[in-house]
Amino acid sequence: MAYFPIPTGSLLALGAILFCIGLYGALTKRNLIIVLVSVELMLNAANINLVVFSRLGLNPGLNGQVFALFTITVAAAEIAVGLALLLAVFRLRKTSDVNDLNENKN
Amino acid sequence: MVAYAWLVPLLPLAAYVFLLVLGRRAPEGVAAGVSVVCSLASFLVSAAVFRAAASQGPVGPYLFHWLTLGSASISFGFEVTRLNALMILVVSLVSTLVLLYSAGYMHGDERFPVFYQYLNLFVFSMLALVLSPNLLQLYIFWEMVGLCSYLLVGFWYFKPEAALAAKKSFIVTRIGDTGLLIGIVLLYWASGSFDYSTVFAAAGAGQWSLGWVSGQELTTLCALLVFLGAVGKSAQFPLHVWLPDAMEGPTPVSALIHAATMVAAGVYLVARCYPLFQASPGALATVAWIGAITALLAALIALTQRDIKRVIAYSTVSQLGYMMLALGVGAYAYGVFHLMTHAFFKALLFLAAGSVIHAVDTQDLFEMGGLYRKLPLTAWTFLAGALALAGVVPFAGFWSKDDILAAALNTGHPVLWGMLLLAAFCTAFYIFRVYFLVFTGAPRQPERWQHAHEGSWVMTLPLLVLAAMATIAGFFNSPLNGDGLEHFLFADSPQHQIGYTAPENVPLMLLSLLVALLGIGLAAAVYWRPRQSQRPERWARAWGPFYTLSYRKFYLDEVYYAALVYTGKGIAAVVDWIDRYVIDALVRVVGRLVYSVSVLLKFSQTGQVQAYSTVAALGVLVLVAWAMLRAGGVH
Amino acid sequence: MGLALWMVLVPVLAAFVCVLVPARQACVQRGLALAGSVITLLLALLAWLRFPGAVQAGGGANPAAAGVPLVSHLPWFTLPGLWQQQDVTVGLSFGLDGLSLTLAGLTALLALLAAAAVRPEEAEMRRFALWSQLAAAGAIAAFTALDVLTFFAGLELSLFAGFFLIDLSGDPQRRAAAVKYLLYRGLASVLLLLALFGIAYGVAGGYSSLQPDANGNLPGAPAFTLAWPALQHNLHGLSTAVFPDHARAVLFWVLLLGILVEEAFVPFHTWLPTAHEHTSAPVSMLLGGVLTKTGAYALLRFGAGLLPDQLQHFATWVAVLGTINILYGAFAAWAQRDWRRLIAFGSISHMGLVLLATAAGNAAGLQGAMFMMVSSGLLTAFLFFLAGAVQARTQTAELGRLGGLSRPLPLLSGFWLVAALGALGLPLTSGFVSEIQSFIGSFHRFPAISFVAALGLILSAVYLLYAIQQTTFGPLRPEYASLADAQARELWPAVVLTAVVLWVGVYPNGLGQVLGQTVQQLLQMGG
Repeated sequence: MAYFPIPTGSLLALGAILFCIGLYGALTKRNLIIVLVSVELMLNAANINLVVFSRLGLNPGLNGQVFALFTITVAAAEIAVGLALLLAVFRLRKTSDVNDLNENKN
Repeated sequence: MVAYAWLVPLLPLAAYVFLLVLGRRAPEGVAAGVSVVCSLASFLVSAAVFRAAASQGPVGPYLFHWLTLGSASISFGFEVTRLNALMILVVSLVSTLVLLYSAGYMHGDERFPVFYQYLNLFVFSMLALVLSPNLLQLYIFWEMVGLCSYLLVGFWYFKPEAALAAKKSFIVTRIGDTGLLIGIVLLYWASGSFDYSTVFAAAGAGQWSLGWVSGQELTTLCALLVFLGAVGKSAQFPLHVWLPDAMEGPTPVSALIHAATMVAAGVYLVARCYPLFQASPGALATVAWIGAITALLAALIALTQRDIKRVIAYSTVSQLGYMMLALGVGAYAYGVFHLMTHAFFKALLFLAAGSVIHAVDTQDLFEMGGLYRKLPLTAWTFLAGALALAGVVPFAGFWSKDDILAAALNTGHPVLWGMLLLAAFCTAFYIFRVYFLVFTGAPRQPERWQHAHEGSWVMTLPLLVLAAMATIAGFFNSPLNGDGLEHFLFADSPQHQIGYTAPENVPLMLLSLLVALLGIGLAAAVYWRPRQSQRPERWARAWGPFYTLSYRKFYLDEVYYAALVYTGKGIAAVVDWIDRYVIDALVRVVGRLVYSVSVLLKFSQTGQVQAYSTVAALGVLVLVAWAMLRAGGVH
Repeated sequence: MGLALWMVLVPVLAAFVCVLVPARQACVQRGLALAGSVITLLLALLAWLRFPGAVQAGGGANPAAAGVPLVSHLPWFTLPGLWQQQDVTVGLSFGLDGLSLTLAGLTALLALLAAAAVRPEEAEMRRFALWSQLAAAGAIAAFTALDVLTFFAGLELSLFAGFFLIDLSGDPQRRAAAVKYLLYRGLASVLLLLALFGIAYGVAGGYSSLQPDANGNLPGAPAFTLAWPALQHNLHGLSTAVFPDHARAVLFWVLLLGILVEEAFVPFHTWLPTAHEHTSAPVSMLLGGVLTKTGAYALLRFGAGLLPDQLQHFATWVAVLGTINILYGAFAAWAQRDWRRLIAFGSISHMGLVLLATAAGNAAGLQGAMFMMVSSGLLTAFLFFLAGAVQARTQTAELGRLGGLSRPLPLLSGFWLVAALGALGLPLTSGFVSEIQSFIGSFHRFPAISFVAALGLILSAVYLLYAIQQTTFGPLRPEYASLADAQARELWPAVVLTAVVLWVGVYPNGLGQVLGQTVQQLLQMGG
């Protein structure tokens, strides 16, 4: 089976692009669900980096992959809590638009 | 016996404490009885001390250690000298009589026991003042008598005039007291002690220095500062303005504090510090001139006053001026002699005036008249006091005043002598003006006259005793007694160096007697006969501006008010304004500044998490870019 | 021994118990505050009795407590290798020399009287008891601390407790006043801390330009320490090569600035009248009587005690500042129409004399300054107590709306007169003894300045008697005709204060002997 090494740079670029898409979504989208999805994208971008460096970094090892597993777990928990909060907010305020949730203003 | 002199002030103090414990509901009889008994006992001890002091020199044991200042130690106790033996005798005698008199005068006042508390505290303080063996202790009791004066002038505190007068008396004397305090402190540093003997020894030697002032100048400075205290307490020009106002107090207070004892404390102070003054001719000349100016000024003001107590108050100021002048020209013994005789006849005049006021319930001379028929005893005793004050032979004032006049002339002060002679003429005139207006002629307000009657024996007995003293006290230092007082005072100073004395000068005696009689005659011509009742007004019109000037007390109150009170209040207002609108405003500006910055900053708080995270992301970007640039760019 | 330590701990314990007891049991809370203060006061009296013996026995061998008679020490924490590889130990060390003992006793006394002066309707008792006990503990800790850091800790404790006390009750503007107080004194604390640490650093050679030897030690530089007795000992005769003069001068001015703010000296004073005007009388008693004495304490302890050469060098400046305070305070007091502001400005005027007398630097001046601190504390608290008692009846402290109170309130008016006369320096009260000693001291060194300052003697009579005349003298206002005078239960703080004021005034040597011990030490330091 032929081994086509994908260049490290490309993998990191994938992570960076994914992170930027996530960041863009998290900073600009008005719907809380989309914001949560974008946060997930950013987390996964981080995961890609972790996995890439665990395999292709200066000190290859299992640490990065273990961290990635942790991140997935934490992200799952975060989504659960986040969606629960979102539902609670929606029930209370009948909206999931972040523009209406500026209680901390001034 | 001298060793028991501390009992003299302690007895009135015991009475004070006793009355304080009993409180304001003590029965009148108990309050007055205890006070009079203690004061009388104090007088008897004083008499014994006086007898003993006549045979002994000064004695001054210290009783307890008061305070340590670094390596210096200050002790308190008492001393008995010939001068203060005489003083305690006079003070305790007059006090006893006034305490007795007050039982009648203050009868029925709701704060009767409080009045006696204050009086006892005063008697204690006054006696302790004269027995003090050092300047610091003297100053302490000097202020205490001032406090008592304040309390007693303001005794009828609900009268606004009394409240004002009390405050004025305290503050005006406080000006003098501050000078005295500074003088005492400077003397302490110059001589290393508060004790009279140490201070005077250093002053006599004249070799002292404070670094910034030394020798003769230091002596003069200290003497003048001490004299400033005396000017305040003895109501000398220019600090005399408080004493007439102090007449708002009950009349026994005026008799005891503002005639016989406390106001004489200034004279006592100068007499006690005489070696210091003798070391400075400039200070002595100041004392003499201030005394003469005061004597004349007050006598001129007294000519036209309508309030019986104010006439006598100005008379007191004037007579204190005589005493100061005597000390100033070097006639120590005569100043002290006049202090003694004046204590008797002036207390008498005040108590007699009090008896009149008690009877007719007014102080306006032009609401009285014809009271001789209603108050014969008061009239006779007042007459004795008036003759003594005017200086008619053989009453007490004649001998002492004549001695002072002679001393002024013989020591080469003809101008001062002339001023005093003029003052003597005015004195005779104004006091007989009072006598004729009050006791002779027709009653001006018949309804008041109808109700007038003599007081009980507690009021008449002191009048009689004092009248007797006013009549005979002069013989104490007359040729008939071989000038006994001078010999008593000077027995310890063999070279007679302590002051000027001279044999009587018969032509001068006759001259001053003549002046006194002229004054009395003029008063009689203007105020005696009822058919001449129009004449006082005519006189007043004829003398127009001068009359007004005298009646308005040379406008000194107004001048002081404008110069001191307005200035002080003005500065206070300015300081308060600066405090509120400059200093505190600056503080508020600093506060506002912080606040407005925060107001600006709060607009950045949109409440949108996304906005915050955008800024955070940009921040991260900047940091990363900066780090990359530092690392030398992307390779 | 441990007396000094217990004097700090007892109020802290009392405050702790206050937290445990429910707030609604106001009587218990008040009882706790009273009990805490009484026990502290008894400890102070015990220390007072033991004091002469302890002075005879001399201080301990421990250099950190040299010359301090009654010392108690509790190790707190160690900073390993803080300064040139040496461990620096910070201890909860407290000691009672003459000045500390007197001020700690004064604190306990005033905390007791303030607790007695609280009216049930005036404040929430638990918070008052809690914070007043903590304020007292902080002040006592600051007054008795042997260690600069402990001093600072005490200062901060009293600072925050004072904030909560001012905010506790009074009129609606009290919050603003409390914040003003907190900001000012917080600044002062920072300045004091900077100056004190700077001095400790400087004594150990921190500002020296000398070259360290082979072991890294400066020749002639003592070990780093934060204990002021040791600093005092090390500073005595310390070469200017180790601790240069310019560093000392800068530190002195930082210290002085801190003291000026801490003590509410002009022009850093405006928080004081504001705080007094808007808070309640018992708090004013504590604030005016004790909490504002920490600055003057720092002046004597650290200014005269640690930098006497600088104090002497800049003495004329300090004396002029003091005189400005005397006159400014007196004139401002004259212009006030509210008793509480008047008392506050009067106390500023009094503390100006402390500055002047301390600058004189001789035995009389230093002793006078210490007497003045005690006397001003007593009389300020006394006046605030009376203003509070009258205000509770008339609902006002404005001069223009009072008058003739002698008739309905003879006892209160009588005490008021006593307090005012003490404050204006009448002989046989503590005020006179303080003023005469201060002026004896200042006239020796600064005759011209003292002549000007003596004007304050006249002005104090003017503004106090003016206010008394407006309050107790004069015709009675009809609305006050039926006021009820204070009974013994309410009056006993006034009786106690009168007794103490008269005791100091009639026989000052009792207090003078105790304070004299500190005076002698300060003089040895300077000489």
